[in-house]
Amino acid sequence: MADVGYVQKDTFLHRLDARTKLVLMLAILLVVLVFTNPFYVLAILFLVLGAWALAKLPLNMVADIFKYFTGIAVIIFALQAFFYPGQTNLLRISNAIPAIGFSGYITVEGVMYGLALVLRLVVIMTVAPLLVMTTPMSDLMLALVKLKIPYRFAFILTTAMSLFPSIQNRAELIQQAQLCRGVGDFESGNFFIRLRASASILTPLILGAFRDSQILDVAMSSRAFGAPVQRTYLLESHFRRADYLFLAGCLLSLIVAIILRLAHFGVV
Amino acid sequence: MDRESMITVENLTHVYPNGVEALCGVSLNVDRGEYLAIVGQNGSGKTTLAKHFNGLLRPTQGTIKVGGKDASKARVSELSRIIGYVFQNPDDMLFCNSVEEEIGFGPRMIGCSKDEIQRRVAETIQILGLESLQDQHPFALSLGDRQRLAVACALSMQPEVFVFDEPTTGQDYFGGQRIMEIIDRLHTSGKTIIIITHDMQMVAEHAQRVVVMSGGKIALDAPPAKAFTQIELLEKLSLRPPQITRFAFQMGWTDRAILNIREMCDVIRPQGSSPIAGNNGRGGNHG
Repeated sequence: MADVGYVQKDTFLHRLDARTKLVLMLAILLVVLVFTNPFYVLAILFLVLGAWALAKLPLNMVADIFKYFTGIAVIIFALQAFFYPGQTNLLRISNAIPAIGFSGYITVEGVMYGLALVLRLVVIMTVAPLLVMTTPMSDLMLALVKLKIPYRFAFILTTAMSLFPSIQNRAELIQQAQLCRGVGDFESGNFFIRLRASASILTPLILGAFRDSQILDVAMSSRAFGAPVQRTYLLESHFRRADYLFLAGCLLSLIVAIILRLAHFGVV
Repeated sequence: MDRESMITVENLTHVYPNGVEALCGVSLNVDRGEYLAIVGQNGSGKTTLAKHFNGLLRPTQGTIKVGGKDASKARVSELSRIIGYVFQNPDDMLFCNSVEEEIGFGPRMIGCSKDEIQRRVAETIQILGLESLQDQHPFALSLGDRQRLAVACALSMQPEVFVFDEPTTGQDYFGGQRIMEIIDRLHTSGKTIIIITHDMQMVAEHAQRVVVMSGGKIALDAPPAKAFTQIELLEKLSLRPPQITRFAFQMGWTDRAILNIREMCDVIRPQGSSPIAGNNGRGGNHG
């Protein structure tokens, strides 16, 4: 899968304050969870993809996300289609099987709800890069601290996020090394062959991670991590007018969405 | 012996998924038994080129043949019988529970019989002098020993060509020398050697041919004695020939690069005087 780290560019989204983008992300996630109608969710997905284009993020990464997600998506969709207690029958499969809660029919509501669930997950997965790929890790950390999240938690969160790409790179390198040693196919259909192949990756990967974490420990200690003083920051972040406008827009949309939902719009 | 081509690269271009063009139109031929060093700045495309030799990377454009096989299509596990690739960091390769098991892993993967595996492990251990370590856990070894073990893992696959990615990085002087001795011995036994490195001293003392890469292209391809006369070009590419070579160049002896102390002695010693005792020209001239 493609790299998900920060990509330096000069776009509207890159210039926004990290806090604004954090709120934007949460707002989109909430709106998406409010509606159960797949068409509403689809509209929001297009909004998110529009933001991708605006931030000049690589759209072919979306294709990557879809590729990795297809298997799970099919399962989630099928479960809903078969087991959602709907009213409008669409397709008769068999007699009712009460033991597993299957009515014997696939219902329109089930299909709609399944679609909505899958689309929700796609939105959730495509919304995160909007923040992570347009914001340097140091800005994100600062934003979290300014939002009064304790520094330790902010540090854990941002470290975990920045660790992810580095672990990914390392796993790729190790896989190459093992291929050179004749380890056959990492994508083989045979589960046991794959399991054995993955052991050759996981062992060096985990041992390497332990080694890295020891180094990180020393680096943190030598920079007085956790010292009982009020720390200062090299970088400062400031809200600009665009941030306030954007923030207001997000909150307004969120309120409108909730009102719509209370008026029974966007529900299956 | 006739020249027999081991690796033929023609017009190779590689573009990474993020759009970076790491190689643009590289052509290179490596014969059997050559001792080749690929040098260049970080990001010049050295490793990208080498990873095409065994199929870890596939060309975006161009062709590559390895031992007669089309390396743009053949599987890595198949090419690993021809090309042994030793990674810079031995910890990326090692994961078994003992040195012996580690060395036998590759042969087992390519389907050698039990006897054959045992024979290869014993032979490899003997060649690399790992007898005292064979029951140890790989992670308990020192970095130098882990590096030797990584070489052993490549050796037990019995490839024709060895690619070493920065074999001496992170090692002290003697650790580096020890690895280079092993590489020299592999070369003497008829193997083709390709070393990716920044270490000009090592190139001067060991390699028979230098390929200088810059910006995804080959900037220079010549024996060290010739390549190191191009001091201005090399410095422009952030490469610095050994001190003794630069000294000779400053003295104005520019028709042929001087690569080590022995050669320098031959130039400055008055004809017919006795050789300086105890210096064979190797090792004493780093810096």
